[in-house]
Amino acid sequence: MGERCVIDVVNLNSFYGGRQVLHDITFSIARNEVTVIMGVSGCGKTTLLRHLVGLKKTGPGQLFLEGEDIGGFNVAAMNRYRRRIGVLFQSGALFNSMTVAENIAVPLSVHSRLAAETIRIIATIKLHQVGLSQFRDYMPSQLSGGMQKRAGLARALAMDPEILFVDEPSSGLDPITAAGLDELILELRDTLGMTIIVVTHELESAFRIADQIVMLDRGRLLAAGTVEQIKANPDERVIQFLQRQAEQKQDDNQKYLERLLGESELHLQA
Amino acid sequence: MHLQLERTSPGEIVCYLQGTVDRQTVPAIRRKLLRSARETGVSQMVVDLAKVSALDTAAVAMLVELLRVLAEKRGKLRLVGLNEQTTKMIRLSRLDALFHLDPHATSGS
Repeated sequence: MGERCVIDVVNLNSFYGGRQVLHDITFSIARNEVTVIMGVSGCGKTTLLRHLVGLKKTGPGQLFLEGEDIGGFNVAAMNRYRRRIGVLFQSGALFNSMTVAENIAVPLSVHSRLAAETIRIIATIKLHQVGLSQFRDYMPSQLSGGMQKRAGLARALAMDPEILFVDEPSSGLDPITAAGLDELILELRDTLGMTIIVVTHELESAFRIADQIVMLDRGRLLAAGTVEQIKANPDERVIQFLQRQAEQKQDDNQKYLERLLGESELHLQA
Repeated sequence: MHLQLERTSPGEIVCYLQGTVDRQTVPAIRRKLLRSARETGVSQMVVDLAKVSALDTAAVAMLVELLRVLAEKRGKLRLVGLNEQTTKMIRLSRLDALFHLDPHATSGS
């Protein structure tokens, strides 16, 4: 655990009921860098994110913030941690009964003594950063999925968090808007020295923004390193992922056919 | 308090900000700045950021509010003494045009 590292994940195991979804995951997240967590759907990316933001309980000795065991945090320590982080969930997770600007204002109203007018201006600034300032008085239901996601990012940024977690920022966005968000992520790192963790399966975006890529495969750490190190990684599954070989799709297709025809029928067809 | 005010002429006030200006310190600074801006006869305020080590979006929002209060009475706001971080922060907020950024200006110039 070096001083450069904000978060250290050490042999993290995770379960849903009796099913193990993460196996002995170990890596570190460096300060002021963009760490991209990658892998095909169902590889455990979002579960890992849920541990990192404290939404899924982590056992002791598996997750450390600046050397302190997050697994041992009491409620007050966990709340202090949550005030230091911003999170954009896959869905955007906006409050439907509030306008977009009111959504952005929520964390500031709850966690600061700022005047209402200051908060109103901050909300407009944050919405402008994600290209939505003209929609500040809209209700979330009046926005497209991609716009809701951008509004969610504006809310995650409202407190200028030290650490920003972003789940699938590019999904549902057109390529130009997605590239704009990538630029914003890099700008946040460079301007505010923000530590940013992005969960994505978009290779192009990952290569554009990552200082470090952490690649998961079926709940296990497949590889971790810089973009160049990942590109040069000789592991067959890394190569498959990078070349977008559709092994996962083939697996899915095989299971789909089995479900349709039954195993015996499938043998007959072979 | 991270703020010092100096009346340099009947219509001008120079505000020296210091240290970290963020959502913790902004409420108190804002009250003083806005009170000064609303004083009769004040038509220009100069905010000197030379000794500011860091500012966040709350600080930028406070400056926007100050600019608006002055603009309502046809006054002006000038930012001077910006360093790399403060300039970047204002640019990140897409407000460089609004504040006519001049990173080399000082309060004496």
